[in-house]
Amino acid sequence: MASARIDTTTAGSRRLTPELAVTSTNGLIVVVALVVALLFPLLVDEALVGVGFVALLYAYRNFTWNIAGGFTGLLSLAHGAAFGVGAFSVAVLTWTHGYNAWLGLVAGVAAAALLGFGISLIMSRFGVVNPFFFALSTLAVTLILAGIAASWDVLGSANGLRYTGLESGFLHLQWFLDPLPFYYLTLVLLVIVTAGVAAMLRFTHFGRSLPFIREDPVMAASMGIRVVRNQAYVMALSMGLTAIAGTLLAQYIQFASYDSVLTVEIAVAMVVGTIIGGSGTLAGPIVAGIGLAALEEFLRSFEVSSTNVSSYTQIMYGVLVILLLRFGTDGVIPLWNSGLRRVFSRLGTDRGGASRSQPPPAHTDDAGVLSSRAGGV
Amino acid sequence: MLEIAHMAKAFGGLHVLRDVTFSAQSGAVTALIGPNGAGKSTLVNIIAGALRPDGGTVVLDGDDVTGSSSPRAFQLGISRTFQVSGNVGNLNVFESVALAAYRRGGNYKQANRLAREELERFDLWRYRNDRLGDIPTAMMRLADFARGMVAEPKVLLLDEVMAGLTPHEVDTVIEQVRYCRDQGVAIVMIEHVMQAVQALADHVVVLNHGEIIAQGPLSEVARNPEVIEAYLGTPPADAETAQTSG
Repeated sequence: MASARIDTTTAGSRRLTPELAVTSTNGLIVVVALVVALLFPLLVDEALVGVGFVALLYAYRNFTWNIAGGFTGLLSLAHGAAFGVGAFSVAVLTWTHGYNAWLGLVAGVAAAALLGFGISLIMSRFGVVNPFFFALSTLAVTLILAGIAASWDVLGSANGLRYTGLESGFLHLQWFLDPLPFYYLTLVLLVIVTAGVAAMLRFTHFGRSLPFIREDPVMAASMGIRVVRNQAYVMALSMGLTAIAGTLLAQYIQFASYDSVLTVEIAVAMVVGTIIGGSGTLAGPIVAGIGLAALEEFLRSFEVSSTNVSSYTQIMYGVLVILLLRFGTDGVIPLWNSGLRRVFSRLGTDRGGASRSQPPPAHTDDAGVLSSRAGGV
Repeated sequence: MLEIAHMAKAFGGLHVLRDVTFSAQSGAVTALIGPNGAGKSTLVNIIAGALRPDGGTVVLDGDDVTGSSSPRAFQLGISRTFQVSGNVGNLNVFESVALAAYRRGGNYKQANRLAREELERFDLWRYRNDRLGDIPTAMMRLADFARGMVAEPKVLLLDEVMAGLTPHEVDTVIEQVRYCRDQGVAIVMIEHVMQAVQALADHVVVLNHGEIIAQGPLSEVARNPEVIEAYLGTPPADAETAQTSG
């Protein structure tokens, strides 16, 4: 990694190092992607805007899972339950009882966060540190809640709940079949949550402690990190944010039942999507979410029945995972970054960039370099 | 000053520590030596709050801190190093030091400034962007030191920091341990590398089967027949005489 550093030895003039080139390229891609995302609904027809909404929803859903699963290493399948809690919260409070939809959303977030907090504390209490046991126990949570939803009339039992109201507009978080507002709402949500989490990871003690909790909880504890407490907070944050995705989807399809919004498949999709994209990276879950949604739509264009789409999707997941295993197990984004780095360092040596293989002597770097410290992007 | 009194710990029926009593002065190096399985790591784990003792007390500057949790022990001023292995290698050098710097209070900027100072002091600033697992072993140990020292601890526990280093690297690390000692920190080190014990230890505590069999300056301890036996076993000739006389 010695080459990946800003070289200030030559009369203080900064040369473009591969690391800086990678960061700049990725920054440019983020800007372009944001512009494209903003213009997308204006350029395509309404059906594709719906696809765009689903893609952003997948991206957001994956991203929220990644907070606990990727950054903190809590391999949770309880996020399927969190998604369902968000959906059923608005279904029960708003559709059945007529409270405002935003209240339903907030209640869903609170309930899912509380659920995540409780699950994490119980796991810590019973000393569940093995990620496989953590996955199995949290899988049980999703299964139990799905079972309750399937048999309790308040949650629609087998028939599900339906929105029959007439109100629409931002105040009611409902635009019936118009996907455009849903699209932009999800985009704004995704940008805010991504920026917020990125800042949290970089600037707060809590956020910076998460990789240490993931890699070695015992060492983390010896550095003054309250492991049990931080894990509980992270699960609360992660599952609370997942619930918003559930609420939005329920409002969009105006339907919530145990087998549409509270399933193990949803939890697995979040896990698989994040791992394919690159768990523990900011961009990975988003890229994978959008990519997988596009893939589903692409498969749908072959005029297969909707039941087959999901099985084709499963096959594509499998193929993607096999490809990743072959070309690098860390996911799309780490693969992309290392590829870019290789390209740029080759370009650098072709131009005759001198002796960059040696680490620069200590104390020669100026303070500004700190800002270029490799982040988790 | 760190005082350990009548420390006892058993795992099931196995007594790992029995009535261990010693103290580690501030500004001095106390070396814990003894054969494998003597209970050295258990002792360090108890002091650092990773394990709870069955009996006995840990007293730090006059305050009883027995049974504190790991984070609490750290807040009270007990830092420890780790043998970097496995996953820990993925962690960033700068972050590992910066995170420990939060003990001295303050915010993001302050913690980063302290981490930078500490990394520069240990001549590690050039490795700040690297993963702990990617830098040379000796540098990794120093990074661990920097992590321990940035918190301004009262006690620094070193767990086999010299293991696997070349004699030249051992000298470099010895330099840094001296520096830490001169800051007034009470250093407790588990060490197998005698070069380091010889150079550093003001006080040597020898553990065998969970009990202290000797303590004092190295020159005294090294002549103790019980210590020689624990390390080298009974010489065949002596064993015969021991058998016939016993």
